[in-house]
Amino acid sequence: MRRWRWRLNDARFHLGLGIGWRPQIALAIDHAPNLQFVEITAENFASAAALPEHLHQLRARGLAVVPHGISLSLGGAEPIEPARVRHLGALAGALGSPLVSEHIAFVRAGGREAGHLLPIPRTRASLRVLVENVKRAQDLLSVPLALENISALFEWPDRDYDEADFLAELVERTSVFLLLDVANVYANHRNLGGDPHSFFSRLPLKRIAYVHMGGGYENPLDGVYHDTHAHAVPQGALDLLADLASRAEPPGVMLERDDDFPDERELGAELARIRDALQLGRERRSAHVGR
Amino acid sequence: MSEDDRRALADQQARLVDALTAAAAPPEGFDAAQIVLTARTLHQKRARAVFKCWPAIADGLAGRFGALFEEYAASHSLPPTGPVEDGFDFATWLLCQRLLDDAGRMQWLLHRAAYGWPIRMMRLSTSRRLAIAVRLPIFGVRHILIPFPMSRA
Repeated sequence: MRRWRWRLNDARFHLGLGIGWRPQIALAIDHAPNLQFVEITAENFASAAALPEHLHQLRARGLAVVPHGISLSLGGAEPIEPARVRHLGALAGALGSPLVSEHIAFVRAGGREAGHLLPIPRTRASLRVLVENVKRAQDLLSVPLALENISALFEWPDRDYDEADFLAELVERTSVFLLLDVANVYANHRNLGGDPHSFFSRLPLKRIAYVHMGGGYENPLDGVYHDTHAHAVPQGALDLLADLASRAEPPGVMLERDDDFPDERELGAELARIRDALQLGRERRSAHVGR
Repeated sequence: MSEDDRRALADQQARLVDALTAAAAPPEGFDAAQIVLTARTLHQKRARAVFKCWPAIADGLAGRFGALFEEYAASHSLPPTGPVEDGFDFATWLLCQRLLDDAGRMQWLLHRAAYGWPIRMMRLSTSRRLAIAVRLPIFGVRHILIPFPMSRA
């Protein structure tokens, strides 16, 4: 079996500015002047034949479409289901996608569905299982795979790595790319502490394929921040994006909006704020290099 | 070693999922308050998803949706196929307890006709009609309502 191992030093993707495709904002996406890629949730489409015509139209206009899975459970102890990987691959094939993405998480255990992306322990044993699952998935895919860091409201008690080292080790052993969710980094910082700047400084930044940005809100009753993707992107997350961009240019950055959809004008404003944060980061980077 | 790793991880993950979805005690070492918060968030997400894709139940139950869904969810784990199936199971549970109104029964019937046996029928006691749903090639599920005199219970 041919194995694709993307043993490249840099992510070779050029995705640009993007957004999560949702039927409720398809028209706004169509009208948006600066979009260069969209991401679709793989599980929302039963097969490649079920893909909406609009996605093919966007492709014809030069936008890339990236299938994003949510049910592979790569961090789970159970072996991955080849059919789920093949589905991701089939969508990528039909859309000419440059890559596919999934999560560093598990969604089922003991025959029970969690209904949500759950964090995995950052232990040596858990990493071995994750690496094995990722390699099996990569064997079944003919495009590169990028994996997303998730947000969580709790942590596992046993820990051999912090998150940056865990991701770096995962990348080293599998050559997988990273889908860096800056909104999740922000949410985890709000709810669990930690230092996002130190996190960025120790990540293999050149393995970042693209970035997620999304909004959330703080529950006034308990102060917990929930990344709902149903609110505006908070300034704190935009600041982190600028910090990331001051270290390395991400090949792609996209907005995730899943609910309470705003009008075209507000969506445009959200995307503009993301572009501005990137530009700020770029300016800091060239000022630093110029010194 | 790989199989040992998987077995140990499987046990830990199963106990965690049970704590988050079936009110089991959290495994040792986890922050109990964080687990409770996550369990509540997961439940709200599950309820919201069913609320959205089964509007007939949502409308029919109105303010009672939350409490009834919580009661149902305590004894029914999330089906792997997702909120549509979850809503169907919830509707079936409501039906068995005579808590599903005619609009909810219609949505339940149409879902039934979409899979398996292509012809389904159901009495709508409030509007005193018989609903017949048929799954046709190309057209999908279509239904008709026939006046159906019923004896007063």
